[in-house]
Amino acid sequence: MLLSYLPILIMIGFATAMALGALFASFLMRPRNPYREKLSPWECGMEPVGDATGGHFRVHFFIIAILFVIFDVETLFLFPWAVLLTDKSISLFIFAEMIIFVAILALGLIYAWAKGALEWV
Amino acid sequence: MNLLRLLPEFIMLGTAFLLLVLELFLPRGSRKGYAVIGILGIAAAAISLPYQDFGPALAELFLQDQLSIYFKWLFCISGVLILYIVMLYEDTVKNWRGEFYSLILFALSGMMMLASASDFVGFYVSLEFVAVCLYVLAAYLTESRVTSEAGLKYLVTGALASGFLIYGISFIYGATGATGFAEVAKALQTVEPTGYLVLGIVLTVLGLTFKISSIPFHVWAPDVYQGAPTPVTALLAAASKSAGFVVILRVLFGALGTVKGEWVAFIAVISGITLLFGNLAAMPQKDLKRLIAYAGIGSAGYLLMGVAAASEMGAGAIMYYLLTYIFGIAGTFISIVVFYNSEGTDKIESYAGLYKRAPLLAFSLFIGLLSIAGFPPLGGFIAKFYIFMAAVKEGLWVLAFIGAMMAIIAMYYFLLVIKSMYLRQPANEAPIQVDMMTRGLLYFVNAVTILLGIYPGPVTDWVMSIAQGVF
Amino acid sequence: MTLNHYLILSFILFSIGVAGVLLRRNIIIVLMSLELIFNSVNISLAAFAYYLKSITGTVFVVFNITVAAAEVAIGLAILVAVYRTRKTVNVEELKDMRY
Repeated sequence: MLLSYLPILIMIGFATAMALGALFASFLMRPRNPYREKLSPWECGMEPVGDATGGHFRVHFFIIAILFVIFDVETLFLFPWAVLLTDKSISLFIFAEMIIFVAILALGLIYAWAKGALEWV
Repeated sequence: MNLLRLLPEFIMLGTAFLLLVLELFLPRGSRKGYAVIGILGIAAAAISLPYQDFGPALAELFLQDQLSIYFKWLFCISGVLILYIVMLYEDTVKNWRGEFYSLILFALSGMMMLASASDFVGFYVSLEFVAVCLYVLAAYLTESRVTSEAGLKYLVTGALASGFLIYGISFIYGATGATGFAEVAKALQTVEPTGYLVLGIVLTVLGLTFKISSIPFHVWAPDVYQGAPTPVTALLAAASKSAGFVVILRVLFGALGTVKGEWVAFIAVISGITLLFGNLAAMPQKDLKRLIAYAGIGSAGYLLMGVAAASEMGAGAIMYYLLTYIFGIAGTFISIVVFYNSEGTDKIESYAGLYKRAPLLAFSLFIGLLSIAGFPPLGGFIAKFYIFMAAVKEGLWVLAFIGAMMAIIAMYYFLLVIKSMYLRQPANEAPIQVDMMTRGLLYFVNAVTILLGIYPGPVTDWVMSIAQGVF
Repeated sequence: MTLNHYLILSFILFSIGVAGVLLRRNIIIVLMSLELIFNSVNISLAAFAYYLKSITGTVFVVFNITVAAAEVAIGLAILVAVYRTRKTVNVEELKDMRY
């Protein structure tokens, strides 16, 4: 009975391997050049001025977060859709419907990309 | 399943997406061509309207009938006028981006969906689609302090109202076990009104007052009308208010019509307070857009009076009122934008002596504002007359009396503006240039407003025949 | 657990949300309270759907989550615009337009 969970186990193993592999690959490939200033929290050598919690946030995190929320919610629609997809009588129609839905979202992402919202300035 | 019944919406959405894709490839610069494409898209959607067959669409989430067709006409008309206003407005803004046109088309297609929504799910999703587009539009000029403030206020009030609305819908769903308007109405014929139902109705009505800017969710209106870009103000005043009322007709008359005893008194109270507040608070205003916001709150009170009448005649009066209101707003806002392009201000005092500088603008403001105030023989007068008739017929004497008093006050504050335009001396004598096309459009809009006042017969007959089917 | 338990939970969360929107001054907390309102409604809808044995309420929940996400995403974006022009996220400092 537990055998039916085997795909999940494989999936977990695969995901872990992917994550560790990516970390290890970047560990091998990155340049290594540590020195004292670089290891200190304020690299530029200036004394910290003012309240560090008041407003020093990167606005770009918000854009990433907003884009994430949109695609996160997209998955919400994918799950009930995936369950219904086994029904042969409507599968073709709802498949086309979902393709249109994802295409519209993709257009949004391309738009954000082309307008430079994803540039890490 | 008949997707063809949503063809007008699909045409509008397609046009909006087309403009978005164009925006990806075009270099920075003038985007006036977008307005032309947008107007062509709206025209294509309007041409498809008379060929629509009636019936449900998309798993009965939407329903095409006479009422939805009428309101789709209203949205097409206001869409064309507003896109023209955007085209005029574009010159005053630095770094203009073309998404503005797409967003307006998205909002209009959402309103069209709203006009034919026949299920709480479809209705709520369309309503929020419109709302989200309008939030972005209201905050569009992100470099401007007032515009971003206006957008944030609009969003917070709007989201709070949506919360009330969906909470109310959840109780109506709990009381009837259905979300389709027809099914809810059918269930209510057998089910006794329970506490859930009353709570649901009250919360739903409160949530809906946001879109029409009446008490208690009116607080956004003055700040947003004043701070948002002028075309967006026109869109909010004309199209968004119509969308709010088609929803009220659908939900209150259509779905909850069988239990109208539960909501008539509540609506009447809201209508009375809205009338008093909107018109009295309008008197001391110094900014023309803000003045129109308060007058718009007052207008919502009149329209709610038609809802409180809860009769076919009330529904017809609302439909006619909205038609005259759209033309009044269009004439007013085209003049405001032309004036702003030349002078860079919306303050009422700067309008002094406008008659000497641009007689046509002064005349359009004269016609537009007086039509909104309900001055005979303009279109707004006939509309208000029908509203009063409907209210008196159902015995709402107190409400009709408050309405009549407030109509006099409305004329007072609009006539003050008009007096300063016609009788005072301008500080600066230089005439304001109005190009040929704007002239033609202003003549047309004013002619329609006057015609709706002196020869209302055909339109009122049409509207009243549509209104027979709302219950 | 009866239907009323869920409805009372949903009502408490809804009230906390409304109080948060009306009373708190930090706009980020206001947006969080709005999210709380929408999620309290989700509880109510899901409870009704379960006790009425009807699927529509559950469908409604899915759409409501989407709508809430869209509203808050736009809210954050406008908030960033406000912050850039004024360097504050306090509601009480947003009063440029009192005639």
